[in-house]
Amino acid sequence: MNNIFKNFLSYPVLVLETSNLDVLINNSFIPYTLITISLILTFIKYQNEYNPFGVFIVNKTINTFSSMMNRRLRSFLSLITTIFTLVLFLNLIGLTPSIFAVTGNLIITTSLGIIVYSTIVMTGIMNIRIKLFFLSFFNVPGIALIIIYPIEFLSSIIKPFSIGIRLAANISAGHIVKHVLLDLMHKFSYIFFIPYALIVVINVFEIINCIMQAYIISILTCTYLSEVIQ
Amino acid sequence: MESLKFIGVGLSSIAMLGAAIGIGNIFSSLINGIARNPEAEDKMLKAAFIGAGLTEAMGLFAFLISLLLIFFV
Repeated sequence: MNNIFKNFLSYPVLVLETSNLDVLINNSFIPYTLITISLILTFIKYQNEYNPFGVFIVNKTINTFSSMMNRRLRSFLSLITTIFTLVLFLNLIGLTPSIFAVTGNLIITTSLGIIVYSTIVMTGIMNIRIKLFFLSFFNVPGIALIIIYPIEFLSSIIKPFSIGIRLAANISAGHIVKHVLLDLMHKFSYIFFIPYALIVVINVFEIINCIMQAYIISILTCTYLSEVIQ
Repeated sequence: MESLKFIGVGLSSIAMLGAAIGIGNIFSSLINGIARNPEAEDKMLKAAFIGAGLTEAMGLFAFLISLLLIFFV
């Protein structure tokens, strides 16, 4: 049971001690280098031609996200494509067995949510000039406002945490189920193929889930932005 | 008193039932819609996946609470 959370703790792997400073290389060094290398290799010109995988990703994201945005939202297309590619690559890198899953941590995903929420707040303030927070209701007059206004305010405040928890829980749930089934496989050493079949099925479901979570994050930013820009 | 923790964990993970029912509801209406109007299949698929992601998140909030209880309390 101690091995279940090994994928989600970042601990130092290599320590070089000098007289003044210690140089630490963390567990999370490997996925960070992997993602820089993969992002550089997919989106760069090599021998005057673009990588077809990068071309595929960019065309697909721009086509799907620009069809649901009007003219004023087009300026946010770069933010949405970067969030989509970052989350997609980080999720897929975290699927490999003994590599630290970056998006499985609550801290990293809530920071992504805070980035998204701050862009929403700032565009709202720039468009409607601070009236956004105090008038965010649907034309409800009078007494019902006292009940509805706190609910609307809370549902706006909780957005970064909901985005963060959604991504972290989806990624970490798959990993934890795999670790529990592996533990079971170790104990039932004669009928090991029953948990093994389940692990294969869960892996397939997890790959689909990674792509879906990246898509859902970008779709949510689109909808929240379109609510604000009106 | 440590064993009472496991009862709480088991009770709080019943909430995934609601998420499962919700996702079944969404995809059953997707199948109905495709049967009525096969030309609008792409738009219905997009909306179904968005809805599935949102309802799954609610179930996973409860799962996260049960994980917190069993390991960090």
